[in-house]
Amino acid sequence: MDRRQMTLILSDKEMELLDDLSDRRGMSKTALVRQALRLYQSVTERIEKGEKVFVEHPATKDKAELMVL
Amino acid sequence: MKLLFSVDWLRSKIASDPDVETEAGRPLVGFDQVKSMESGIVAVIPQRNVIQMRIALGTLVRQLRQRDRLTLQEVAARAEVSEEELRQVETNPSYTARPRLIFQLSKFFGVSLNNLSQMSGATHAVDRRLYNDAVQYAAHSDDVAPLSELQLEILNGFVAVLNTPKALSGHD
Amino acid sequence: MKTLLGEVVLFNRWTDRFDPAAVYQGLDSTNFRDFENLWKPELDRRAAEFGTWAEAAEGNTQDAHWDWVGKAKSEASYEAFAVECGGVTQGLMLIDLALHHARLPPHKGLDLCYIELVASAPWNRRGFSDNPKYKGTGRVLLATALSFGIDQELKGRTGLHSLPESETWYGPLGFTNCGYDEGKQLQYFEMTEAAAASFLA
Repeated sequence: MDRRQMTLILSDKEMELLDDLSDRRGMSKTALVRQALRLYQSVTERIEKGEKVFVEHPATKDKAELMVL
Repeated sequence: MKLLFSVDWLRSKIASDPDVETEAGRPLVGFDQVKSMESGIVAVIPQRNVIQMRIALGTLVRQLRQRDRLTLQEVAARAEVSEEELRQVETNPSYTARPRLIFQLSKFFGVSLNNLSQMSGATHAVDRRLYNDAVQYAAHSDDVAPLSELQLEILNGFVAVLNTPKALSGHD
Repeated sequence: MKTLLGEVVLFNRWTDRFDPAAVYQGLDSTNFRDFENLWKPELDRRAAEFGTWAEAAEGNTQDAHWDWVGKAKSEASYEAFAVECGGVTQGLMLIDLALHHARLPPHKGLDLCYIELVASAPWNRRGFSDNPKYKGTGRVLLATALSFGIDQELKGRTGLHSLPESETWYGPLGFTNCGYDEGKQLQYFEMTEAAAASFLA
């Protein structure tokens, strides 16, 4: 599969977040961005189809709907 | 991306792999255990006969459980099925058992999957002889009493019929 | 976009020999055509013979056929793979990398390569044919899934829901049976990083 390179301009805070997340998720920054894209795409697609995406608290079963604008 | 295995690895692994089904995710058809409908031995049966077959299935499952001195909970746990589903199969002839339940019960009790599937009403077509045997068996079985010696004999006879290979029985 | 990943082999039960085959990432019109013209008539024929169950218990079987094709075509978070031999699609697999997480320690919660569907052509399966042709599509596709997951830095963590008749296949390969999943109504199996490494060894 072809791979292309791009330059990403991030603020210090965003860069820190990327470092922290890639560390916690055990993958490189590139892999993390790829996974984030897939997830964002999947959520967007569902919402565009009229589905709702929720996060649920395991104990209270409280649900919060994810909004993608 | 690079494949992390070689053709030689595949050759040796495929040669020694068991020759079993490897599907995951979801069935491409409702139920994959299939058999040929050629010849008049199998026939399409109406709904009321499906109910009769399911009564026989419920009796069979309950008696096999009694034979092995197991409670409903114990069978559910050991066969890895839901207790409620198992209860439905034993007691409710209107209940349509799911393929997995029938598959697990067939493995657990060592009874032909093909025949159990037919008895559960999973199929449009059933073996006429199986239908007759199942209805006979159900008619001669006491619904609630513990297994008497005579009843055990009838049960064993029916299980033997279920597990007898037939010329056309296809895959079990 | 369809990309050739590599040459593989499948065991031809009819000739007792290995035939050359190829694994692809991404499907093209040939695969969809094979599914429509070769797989589906066989699946429909069997469904018609043995269909009431699905209709009664599972809902519409027609949808089940097409669900994954639609996904493979439309949703970018899914990656589709095919194994072809003799110019024909012998096996298909659909992977989702976005929405599933490992349940097993020591990497519980981390992203996982989830096999949404893996299927062999009906003529390769004992459930459909008295004289099935190719053996090995399941292993080729699983090894491809692990390769893909590792390429995507998921380190071999892999999950799937096995069909009942395939439960005996996944355990010995190194998958852990995590139990019955009420939502999918199937047993959930997962492979850890360590198990994936020993599978590919």
